Amino acid sequence: MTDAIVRIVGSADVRLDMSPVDYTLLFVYFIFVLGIGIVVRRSVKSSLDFFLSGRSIPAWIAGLAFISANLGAVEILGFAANGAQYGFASVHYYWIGAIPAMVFLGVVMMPFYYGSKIRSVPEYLRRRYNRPTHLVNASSFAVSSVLIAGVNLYSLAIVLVALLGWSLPVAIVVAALLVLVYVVAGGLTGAIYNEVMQFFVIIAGLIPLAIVAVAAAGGPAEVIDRLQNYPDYWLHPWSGTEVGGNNPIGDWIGIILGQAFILSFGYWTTNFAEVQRALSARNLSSARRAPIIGAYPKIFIPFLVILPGIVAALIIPGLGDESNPQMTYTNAIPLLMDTLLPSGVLGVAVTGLVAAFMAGMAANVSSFNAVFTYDIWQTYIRKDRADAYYLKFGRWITVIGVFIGIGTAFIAAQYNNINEYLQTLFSFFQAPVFVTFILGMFWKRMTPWAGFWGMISGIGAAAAVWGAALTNDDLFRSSFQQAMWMGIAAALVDLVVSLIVTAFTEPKPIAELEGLVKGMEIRDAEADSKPVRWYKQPAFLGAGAIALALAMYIPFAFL
Amino acid sequence: MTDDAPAGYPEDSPPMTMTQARMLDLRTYICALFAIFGVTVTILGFMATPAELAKAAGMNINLYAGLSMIALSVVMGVWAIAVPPEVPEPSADPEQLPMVH
Repeated sequence: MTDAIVRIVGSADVRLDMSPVDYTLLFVYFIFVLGIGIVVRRSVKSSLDFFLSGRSIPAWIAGLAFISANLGAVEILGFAANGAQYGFASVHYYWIGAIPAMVFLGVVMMPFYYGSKIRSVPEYLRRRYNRPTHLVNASSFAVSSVLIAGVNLYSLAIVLVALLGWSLPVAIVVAALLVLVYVVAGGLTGAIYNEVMQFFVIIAGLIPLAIVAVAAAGGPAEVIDRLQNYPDYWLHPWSGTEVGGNNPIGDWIGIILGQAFILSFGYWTTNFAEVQRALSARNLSSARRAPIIGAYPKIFIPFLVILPGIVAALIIPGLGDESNPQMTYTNAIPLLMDTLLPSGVLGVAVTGLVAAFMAGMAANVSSFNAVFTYDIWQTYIRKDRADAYYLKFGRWITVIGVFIGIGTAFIAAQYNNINEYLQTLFSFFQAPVFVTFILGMFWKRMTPWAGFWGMISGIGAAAAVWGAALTNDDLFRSSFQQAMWMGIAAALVDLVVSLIVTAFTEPKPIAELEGLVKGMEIRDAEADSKPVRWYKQPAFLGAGAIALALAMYIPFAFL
Repeated sequence: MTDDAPAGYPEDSPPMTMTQARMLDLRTYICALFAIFGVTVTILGFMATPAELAKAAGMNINLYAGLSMIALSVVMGVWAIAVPPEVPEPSADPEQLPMVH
């Protein structure tokens, strides 16, 4: 990912042809970003304000921030690359992956998270299981967030280098300082407000790009016609997903069980950078609606990232030519922007890309500082201080986190593969979490040590599958399929170990599970007295989102 | 607005006024940003050269995108005026509760 970006924009030939108007739009956006951070500073009076926006955010803002925190470089450039290489085959990550997972978070899991008033996802594990389980999850999350923030920072700096002609160190430091200012000043509110702004700007850049790209290829009918010459899975995402088939994304078991049910559910429902946005909502009803509100626009994102990638494969000769470093698949969107967008919309689109990278880093930083302050510092190192102490500490740890990110960015600049290694390493930790959470929420008897050993052995199982794939190249048809089966192995091993350990260890006293498990939810008295109107019910909205996502497959059957 | 303040609310931190609430309303910023973006891009659309039109597959994409962004700006502005932000009640957080009661 990262090294591909280096190649696009790092090379002088691909420097986008930006006019002064385009630069002006970018700088106007920077002024808004900083201005918002400084204005919302006055709303930050306690640590809860800083880390969770004082639980005051309206549902629609929390919902858009929820998908925006994830709409960064990997999603935009990565899924465009998937489109350019495999057509529509990767839509599964959205329509049966992300969407049902976001609905599940809102409908099923949020009452436990929000109702129990936990302040972070690792805190749930501490209260449901024990400190060792908590420490594994909190520390792996903190470390991965700050390092991935560095990699995001590096991607952002590379774009600035290309656009403005700055040197890389200057670009890294300036980009980091922009993020630092608005997160330190505005806390989570600063990050969330900017994520929602970013969402609208990136959409305003990508919609015109998708429309012009399809028009340049001769219109929708012509695009569909030309795709008939490609492998069947380009237009029919389920084609070739039988076991032993040729669909590069994987087999149907891996896609449904591994990707959708284990990995997507794990990511969207337990990754604190996501869940934090929903926890910032002003009440339980808003918190439950937030991810579901986000699910609706998310359904259409494939048409803004995968579709332009597909069209790029049709109209950019030589895309994917490995001998030409500018023509990598990840460059599909920047190449289209350069080829098709006139000054004006080009400035909006570039601003959207820069904004997306910046928001990606800010999401890492704003979730890192919360977990580090609440879950590591307050839990294990300095307990029982006044709230003002943790607010101040949170601001300082943000500064330190950003500086570690800057260091990581410089390391990433030296070693291009670091991003890949980091992603692989953290995927081990991510693979089993969903099973541990879901057992914990629905099975009172599950013991604290079962939580710990289940999670540890799941991490081991994911690593073992990864190792097996290293020694046997033929095991999986693609890295997508490998990741799915790592998830399946981790989940199964976690499940079995959790059952066995539960049989031999002591469960938690039932009183300590208040609000954390099924049947012991904490009712929100205020919300109960004001019934939520039917069209605002999470179950209704959620069912609608899933139905719409699945319906998206139908038109492809006729192409 | 100050009439709504509960008794005992510290005088040195007055309750939020509507102006301050609007300053914290994200819709205000989206409205303003897209007014600037929309108007700029629309003007470029009206001045589009044949070369620019040809580049974008014959479409005047600046005009369409600019007008769409102005529309977004108007929607956000109208929404922010029609449904004003709730002025938060002071000290919802127990830690900041006024001393009396």
